[in-house]
Amino acid sequence: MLAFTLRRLAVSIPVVIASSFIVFVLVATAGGDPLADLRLRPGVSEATIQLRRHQLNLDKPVLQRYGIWVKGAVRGDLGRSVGNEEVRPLLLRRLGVTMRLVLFATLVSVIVAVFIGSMGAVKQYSKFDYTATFFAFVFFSMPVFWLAALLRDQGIRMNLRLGRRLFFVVGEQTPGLSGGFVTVWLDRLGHLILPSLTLVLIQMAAWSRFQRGSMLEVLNADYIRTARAKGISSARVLFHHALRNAMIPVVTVVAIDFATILGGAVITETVFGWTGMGRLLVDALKVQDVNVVQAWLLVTAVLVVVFNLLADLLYGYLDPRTRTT
Amino acid sequence: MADLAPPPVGLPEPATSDQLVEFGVEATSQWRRVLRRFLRHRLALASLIVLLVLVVASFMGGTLARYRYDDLTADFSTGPSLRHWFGTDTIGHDTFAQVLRGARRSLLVAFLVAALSTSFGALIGALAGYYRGIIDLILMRFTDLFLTIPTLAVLLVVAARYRGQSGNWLAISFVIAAFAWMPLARVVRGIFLSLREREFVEAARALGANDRRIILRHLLPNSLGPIIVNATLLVGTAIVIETALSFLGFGIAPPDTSLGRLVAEGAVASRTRWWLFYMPGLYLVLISLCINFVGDGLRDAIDPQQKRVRA
Repeated sequence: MLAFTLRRLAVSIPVVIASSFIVFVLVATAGGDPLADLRLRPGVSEATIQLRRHQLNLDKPVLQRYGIWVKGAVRGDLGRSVGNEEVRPLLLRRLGVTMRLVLFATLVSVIVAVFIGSMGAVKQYSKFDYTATFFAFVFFSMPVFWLAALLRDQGIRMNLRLGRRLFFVVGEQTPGLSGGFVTVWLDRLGHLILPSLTLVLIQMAAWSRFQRGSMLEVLNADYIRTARAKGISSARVLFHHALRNAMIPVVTVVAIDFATILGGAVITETVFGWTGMGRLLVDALKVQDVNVVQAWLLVTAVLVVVFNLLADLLYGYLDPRTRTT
Repeated sequence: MADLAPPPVGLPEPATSDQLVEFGVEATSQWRRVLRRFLRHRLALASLIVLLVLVVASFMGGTLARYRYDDLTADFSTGPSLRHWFGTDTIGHDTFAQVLRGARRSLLVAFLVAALSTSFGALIGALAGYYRGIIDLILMRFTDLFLTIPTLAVLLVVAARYRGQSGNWLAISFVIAAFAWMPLARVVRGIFLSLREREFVEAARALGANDRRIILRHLLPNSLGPIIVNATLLVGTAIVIETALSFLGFGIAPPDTSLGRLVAEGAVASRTRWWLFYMPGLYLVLISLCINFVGDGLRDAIDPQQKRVRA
C-alpha cells in the first residue's frame, strides 16, 4: 500500500510541474496590465513604472519568466507580489486562516455524516432515513455561495431580532482584538460557526449518502450475521464489526473531495469577508499577479497530495489487509 | 404502460414489443423496461415535469413574461406583487423577467457543458478501456493531471481571461467542460475494460468488425446507461459551477445575465430587498434539485441492482 502511495506521489510531481507551467502561461499572457493600478496613481513617474516592470520581470518573455519562477520556487523563494510584498509569508498567513475553516468543517462533517449515514442504514426506509435523504439532496443541489449568503442573511436577521450579536458574519476574527489565548480563540471560534456550517451542510449531504450505502453493504454481509448469531450484543456488532468496516470507503472519499472543500472554502470566505486564501486568489487573478497565483496553486496541489497520502495511511489503519500487501 | 396511459379509443393499438421482434427485441424491451421503471419512480417523474416547466419557461420567457429582461419599468425596488411577481431591482428591472433570462443563459451553458464533457469523457474512457496498455496509461495520467489540480482555482484562472467580455458564455462553457469530464472517463474506461472481454465482442471481431465498429456499435451502446446518468447529473453540476464563477466575478459578463450573477448582485442587498436574492436563488436550487432527482431516478431505472450510492 505504501509503495503504491509513493508511486502515486512520484506520478503527481510531473503533474504538478505541468499544471504550474500551464497556469503560468495562462495568467501571464492574459493580456491585461498588472501595473494598471500604479499607472492610475497621480504623481507616479514613467521611470518608476519601468523600474517596477523590470523588478517584476514583466519586460521579459513568458518562458524566461517561468524559468525565473521555477528557479526561485525550488529554493523556496516564491517571489514578490505586484504590490511588492513577499509572497511566502503572505501565503502562509492566509493559509492559516483558511485551514482553520477547512479542517474544522471537514472534521465536523465527517463525524455528522458518519452518524447520519449509519443511522439511515440501520433504520433503512424509516422516517429518519427519508428525511435525511431528502435533505441530503437539497443541500447537495445548493450552490455553496448561495447557502453561504443565505446563512449570512439569516444570521444578520437573527442578530437584529435579538438586538445583540449572536452570530459573527464578517471576517475571521474581530479586528484589533487584544486578550489572552483563550479570548482570541473563542472569538475565532465564534467567527467560524456560520462559514463552517455552510461547508458542513454541503459536504455532509454527499458523505452521509456515501456512508449509508457503504453501511448497508456491510450490514448485509455474512460476517455480521455470524457475529449476531454468536450472541454478540447488537451495539457491539454495530460499532465494532459494522461501523469500522463501513468507514473505510468514506475515508477515501473525504480525501478525494479535499480539493472540492478547498474550492468551497474559497467561495465561503469571499461571502463572509475572510482574508484567507480565497480572497488572495480572487484578488491576485484580477490584477494578474502571477507569482501569487502560482504560489497558491503550488500550495493547494501539495495539500491535495498530502491529504491523499493521509487517506492511504488511514486506510491501512482501518483495513489491516492492506498493511501486509 | 397500459395502466399509465390507456390507448385512445378508435385508434389502432400502438405497436408492442411482440410486433417489433424483427427490429431487434432485445434493445427495445430493455429501454422500455427502463422507461417503465422510471415512470413508476414518482419523485423522479414529478421532478422531470417541474424541470420541463422551468426549462420551457426559461427559454420562452421573452414571450411569456410581461416585461423584457432589459425593460426599465417605472417601479423600482418594489417587492413581489401581482404586477412584478419577483419584484423589481433598484433601476426598475423586472426580476421575474431577469430570472427567466438568467436561467436561460445558465441552462444553455449547463447543457453545452454536459454535451461537451460527456462526449470527451466517453471518448477518452473508451479509448483507454478498449486499447489498454500504453494508451490507457497515457490517457489515465492525463486524466489524473486534471483530477489533481484544484479545479476551482484553475477554472478561475482560465475564466479570468474572458472576464468582462460580452458573449463570453461560450468560452465559459468550454472552460467548465474542460474540468468536468474526468469522472465519466474513468467510469467508461471501467465498463469497457470488462465488456471488451465478453463473447459478443469476440463474435463481432470474428465477423470481421474493425475497432471503430466494435467501439461505436457494440461497446458504446452497452455503456449508455451510466453515460446518460452521468450527463444528467453533469447538467446540475455545471449550473452550480457557472453560478460560482459568476459570483466571483469571472462568469457571464453584463449586459447579459445568469442566475449566478443575479444571486451575487442580490446577496448584497439581501436584508433590505430580499426578493433580489431569494427569488433567483430558489429558482436555481429548484432546477438543480430537480436535475439531481431525475438523475437519481434514471440511475435506479437503468440499473435497479445497483446500490443507491452517490459517488
